[in-house]
Amino acid sequence: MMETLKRHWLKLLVAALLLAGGAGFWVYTTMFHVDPDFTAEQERLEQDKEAFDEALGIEDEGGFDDLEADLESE
Amino acid sequence: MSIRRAHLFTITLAAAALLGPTALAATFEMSPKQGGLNTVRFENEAPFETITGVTNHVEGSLEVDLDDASKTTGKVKVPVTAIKTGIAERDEHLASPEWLDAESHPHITFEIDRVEAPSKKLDNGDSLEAKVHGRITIKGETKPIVAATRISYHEATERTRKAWIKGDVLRVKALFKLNIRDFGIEPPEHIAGVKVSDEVTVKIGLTPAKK
Repeated sequence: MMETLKRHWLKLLVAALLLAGGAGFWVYTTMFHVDPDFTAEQERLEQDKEAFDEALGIEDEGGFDDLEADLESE
Repeated sequence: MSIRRAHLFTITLAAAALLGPTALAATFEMSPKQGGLNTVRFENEAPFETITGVTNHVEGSLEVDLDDASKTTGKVKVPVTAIKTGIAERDEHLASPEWLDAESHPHITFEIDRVEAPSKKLDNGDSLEAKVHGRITIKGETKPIVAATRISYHEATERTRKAWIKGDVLRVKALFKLNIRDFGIEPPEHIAGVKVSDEVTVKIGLTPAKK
């Protein structure tokens, strides 16, 4: 057994690395990778809103930071 | 003027005085058809990232007196299944009975109870800051919340009428925080591999249009 391990250690290491890489890729794609179609759709909606604001003459409506500060000053 | 006509005149004046404040209120509506003009965003801080859920499927209406925003009333709702994180696995978790339980409680609703706002008339382009007191219902549990809010009023232009919506609009930006445990949500140690916190920040951007 030990002899076999010693003889094929490189193959075993490569196999273990491939397995770990595959598992990591699976975790990333299913749990962390945001669907590019979703991101593209959100960007399209944001651009549409910006165009609407421009047509309406809204230049700067302010962000959420001021509102958060207001809320926390209560 | 005869006595009868004088009485009629007095009654008309009294009715106008009584109905006056409500007669000034206008209805502003939101619908999923308005796309990116209405957004509700939920943010939850996790150790390595901020988990964000977003929806543009916002329905509801506001009754707003442009002469006195403190008289504003209204209700907004979003379907739970329309909240997306961009990651299918997370979306499934979010709609599951462990979290928002979309099957038994398909909507999250927010109803305005009271608005603290300066006594100021909203003309075209004007804005004001307000504290909106209301009730939010998530997973069948209703809790009071206070939202820091900015409201502005904008008359429709030829371009907005042609390309988007016909009526004048309000732009409402609001922010509030809530604890998910208050709504019977016991966060598991992890959601799809990521540890989550109990506090959620809700950021709302609405463009209700005059009916």
